[in-house]
Amino acid sequence: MKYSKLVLMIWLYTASAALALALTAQEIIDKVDSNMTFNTARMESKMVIHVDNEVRTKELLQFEKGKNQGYAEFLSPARDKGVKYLKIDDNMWMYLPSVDKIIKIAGHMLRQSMMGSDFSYEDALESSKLNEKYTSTLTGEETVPLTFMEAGKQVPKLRVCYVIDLTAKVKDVTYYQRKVWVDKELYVPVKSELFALSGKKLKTMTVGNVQRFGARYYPMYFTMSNLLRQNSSTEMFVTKAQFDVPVADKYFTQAALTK
Amino acid sequence: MFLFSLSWRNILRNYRRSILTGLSIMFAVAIVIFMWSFIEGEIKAVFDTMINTSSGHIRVVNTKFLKREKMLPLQENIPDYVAIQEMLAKDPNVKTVTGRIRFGVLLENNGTTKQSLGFGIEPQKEEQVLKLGKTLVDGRLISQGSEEEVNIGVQMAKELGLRVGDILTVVTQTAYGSFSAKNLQIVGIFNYGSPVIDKRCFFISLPVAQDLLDISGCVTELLVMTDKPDQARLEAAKIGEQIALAYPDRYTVKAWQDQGVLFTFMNLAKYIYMVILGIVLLLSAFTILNTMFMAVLERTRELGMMKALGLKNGQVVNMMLIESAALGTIASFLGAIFGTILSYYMSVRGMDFTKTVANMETFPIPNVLYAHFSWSYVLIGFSFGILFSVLAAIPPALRAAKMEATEALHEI
Repeated sequence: MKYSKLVLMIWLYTASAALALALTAQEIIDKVDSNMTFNTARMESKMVIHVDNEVRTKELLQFEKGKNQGYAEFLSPARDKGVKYLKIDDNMWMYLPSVDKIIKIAGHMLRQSMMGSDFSYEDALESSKLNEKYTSTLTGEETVPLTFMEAGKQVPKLRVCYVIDLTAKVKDVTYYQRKVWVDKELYVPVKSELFALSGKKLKTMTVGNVQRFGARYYPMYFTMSNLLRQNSSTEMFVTKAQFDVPVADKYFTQAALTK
Repeated sequence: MFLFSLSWRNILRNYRRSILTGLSIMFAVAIVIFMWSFIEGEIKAVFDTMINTSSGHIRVVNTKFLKREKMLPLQENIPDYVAIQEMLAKDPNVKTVTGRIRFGVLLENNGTTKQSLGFGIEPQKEEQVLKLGKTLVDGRLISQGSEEEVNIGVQMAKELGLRVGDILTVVTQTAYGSFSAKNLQIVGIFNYGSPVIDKRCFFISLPVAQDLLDISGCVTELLVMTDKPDQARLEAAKIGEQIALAYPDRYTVKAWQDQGVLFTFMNLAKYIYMVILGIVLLLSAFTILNTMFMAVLERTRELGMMKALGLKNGQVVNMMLIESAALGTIASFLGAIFGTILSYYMSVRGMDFTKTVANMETFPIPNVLYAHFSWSYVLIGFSFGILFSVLAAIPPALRAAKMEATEALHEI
């Protein structure tokens, strides 16, 4: 009798400890958000667009401030050099140096391809917290590969991930549902599947080359496939990233576009 | 000879009746000639506009382009177009082969944007297809080379407040989805006479379009003009085989008759017009038959009198036929003159539908519809008048001839 009481007590103790240790889906996403979002950021990256058998490389410089201000400038190739984008809330402007004109991009176009890539303008220029827009449910754990840079090469390693389903709780989202595989140690979204309201899978994104910036883990490599386009994928190599560094307000004005 | 002079006297004797009968015939003949040339003219005008602006007599496109033509997919293009042009130039039936790129554009001018359709063209070759040069109302045609020039329509110029010498900013997406823009100088303004073209379209040279859209060395469509448009299907099959041999499974070649819903619709419209023309012919025939029939029938007593005076049955019938043929010929001749004048006038001046078609921005209907004048329609109308005049006289003449003189004399 005493023995069984002890067993019960041990069981209760471990069970409650396990409960206390286990994270809720929301807490996991919270950790993801703190890795993936920032107050300000300055990034240089190289976008490699694969469509059918063609490969196009573009380099860009990005500044982001808060969740609603974004600025991007294309540095190469020659025909795109100097093309700039500015996004403030839901408004977006584009500057085309060949005609020296600023053109306003209408709302629905924010969801279209940015410079022919698989990323939309929203994908590229937005940095809002998942927890603010989605409710999350933990559905299980899976092992998926995540690449790490080792001696200049991307080496895939199997990682245990939480599998979390996200469903939009606000109206204004492009992807109504997301399925995210979150690394159990690093809390980065190793793999994401993005769905429309109809349930149709729109895009898949995977990340790699996770690096540490202070307390933050951030992937320096993204690959996005827009499933609505045939044989298309875009790789994004972040060549330089700085987080929470001062970013001048001047970048987030239309005047900055023409300079 | 006696019968001829008798017939002639008969015609002149009751001149009121002759004039009335003659007027009916004349009117019917004129209507037939006019309607025929007008309907032919209208059908020809719409088909010509469609052929010149979109289909050519034969069109060569990338097979994948055809599947998503509404989106104008620039990636699905014809990189081999110069080689195909050279290959087809050897064909004796081919008049010209011209490359085009059509692309969707947002036109920007002082804060107003406008959805429109750009054409990258080979301006010199297009003078046998699009014939843009002939419709210029101001300035000149764009040059062949890489000069960044543009021709726009009168209505677009008016809407955007642009004139020759002004700059038109064109913003579009390249074949690879990047934004691309050019400031183009307006060197000429055309009045094509079709709202679709004059409001929505502008034309730049092929090299400028290729640079703007990032598809150097490519076109999206090749338009072939042949000597015999009616046999375009045969020619298309021949060209198709030739191209398939050189570039297997890549391109689709179609004659103008087999391109798109518009052509199917127009073919249907053509049948409807033919039915309308048929009804006009029938009504005209009935008018002539009725007038002639009554004119002869009311003379039964007179014919009975002639028989009593010694005219034989055959002579009565012949007299009536000569009489109606003479009247028919004179009236048809006058009707033909009248119809010719009317048709010819309409073929030169046309009928202006500018206001009616102003909002038809998707269907290539011309502003002014011209009749298509042809002497064959005049000949048909003329023969038609005589034929039915004579035909109409036969039954009542036979009937009167068969009657006994006394019986005919009693007829009221």
